[in-house]
Amino acid sequence: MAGRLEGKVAVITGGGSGIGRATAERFAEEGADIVIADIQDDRGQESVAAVEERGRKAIYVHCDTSREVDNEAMGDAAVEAFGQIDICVAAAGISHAQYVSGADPTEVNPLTPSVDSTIGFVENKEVGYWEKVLAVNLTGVMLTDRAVVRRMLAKGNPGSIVNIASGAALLPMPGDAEYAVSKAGVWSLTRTLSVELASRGIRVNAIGPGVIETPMTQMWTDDESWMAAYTENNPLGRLGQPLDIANTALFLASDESSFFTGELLQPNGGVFTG
Amino acid sequence: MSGRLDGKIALITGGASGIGRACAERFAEEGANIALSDIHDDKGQETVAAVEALGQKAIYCHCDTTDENEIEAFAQAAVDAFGQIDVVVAAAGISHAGYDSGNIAADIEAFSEGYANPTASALVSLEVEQWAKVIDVNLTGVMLTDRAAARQMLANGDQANGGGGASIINIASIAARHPQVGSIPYTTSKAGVWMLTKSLAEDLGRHGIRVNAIGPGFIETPMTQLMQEFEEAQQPTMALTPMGRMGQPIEVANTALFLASDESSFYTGQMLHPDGGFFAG
Repeated sequence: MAGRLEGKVAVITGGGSGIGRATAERFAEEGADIVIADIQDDRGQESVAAVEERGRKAIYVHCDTSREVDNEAMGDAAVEAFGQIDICVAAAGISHAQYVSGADPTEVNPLTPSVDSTIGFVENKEVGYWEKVLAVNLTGVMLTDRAVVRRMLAKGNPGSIVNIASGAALLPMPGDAEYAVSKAGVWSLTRTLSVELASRGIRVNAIGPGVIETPMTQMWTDDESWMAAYTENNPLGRLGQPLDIANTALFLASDESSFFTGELLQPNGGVFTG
Repeated sequence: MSGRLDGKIALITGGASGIGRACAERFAEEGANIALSDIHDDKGQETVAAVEALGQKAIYCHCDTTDENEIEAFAQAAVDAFGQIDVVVAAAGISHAGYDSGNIAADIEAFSEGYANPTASALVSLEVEQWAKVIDVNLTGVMLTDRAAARQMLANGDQANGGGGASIINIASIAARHPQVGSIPYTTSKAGVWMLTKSLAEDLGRHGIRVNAIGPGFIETPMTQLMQEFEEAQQPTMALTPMGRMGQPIEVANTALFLASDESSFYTGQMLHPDGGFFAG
């Protein structure tokens, strides 16, 4: 049986864990070969192994997405290994300036329920923190998209770009303005890119996940009272799983979404429907 | 090979043509059996034949979705035939009070004045019967469809725990967000479908029933015949569609397939837009 992404090549940033890892695995199940990019090399290699277990090829590229040269080198490595790029999932991101995936220093995370969120209020904001989050979450996505689009256009093949934004693109995040602003920026970038590229066969969409059980939401999911309130207010009464986002990315990556561009899809359990 | 809707039962209104028929065929390809309704019986039977040709079962019911007795009878017929309802696609709708699917003369009559006098106020010449008809079919009809289906789903036991989950999909329109793309009653009715969808997501989520909407852009169906036939009707909207083309019914059906399947199990209260990038959001 032919997979829904049979023979396609997908570049996935942040592919070492969470949404990126789940997307790599799901895409491999549907027949895609994968370029995994991350800054955590060991976990990136684990994702490569997970793709190979599913019978597809994968390479790992160390890539700090906030660095122009790293994104361009990733694009080159993808084309060298697989000939072209059909799909891009820009999933690399951080929730706050000091975030480390899998080892979040929750005591300085303004979103941690036991931490006084006013440490992160704009009146107390260190500009370096603001710049760091925008560099990774917004400039990083632009640089990744740019590197991929350049190679899609050079080759002349159609493509689908999926930017991982957040529900925070549309909602306030007291204590973490830079995260909300960066994700709103990703959504705006997505819309502009979609128009720039529509006539050239490249679709650009975004996903705005709700609370997904990944390393990035551990400061919430480890907290009993936070979870009780969340479950109470969520129509579907559960956390999202990385697979929920991977299935959304699969829909947007595949030809089944051929009339979608410039859209934000929100797998969030119904917590926000604005 | 197992389909993505194997063993599921889908109830589809407006199933005789356009988006409704495309959904019936696409769902059948993925293993669903279909209960479909329409007011055009001959074309409804053609859809039944199309589903059967794909190896699945289908029943047809004549049903005016604005008549609560007819829609309740349709949902009951679906359960009588197939035992339960897992998926709903509420696709029945009209673009203006005189709409008659496949009859382009009615569209020309309804819209010619607007094309001739694009700056004239449509409100001042709007008759309340025209308003009421569109709201009745497009909004009340969807509520009645969703209610009839939800009653059957919940009578069959709570869908949340061991029930496998159920999915209701309401066909709205980009008109739910953009006033430029239809008559005043049409855009208002579709905005109503969007809020109905969000309210039902809250109401039914705890019971394991997800409720989402699709807001298509301009799709090649009987409803957009005027745009397909006349360049001057198509040009203004294509200018706002970055992809520069009309969509195909299959593109909406594939969106409905995503929302019907378990791959969208964390979606409720959302509206998806296969719209070619119309206004980019």
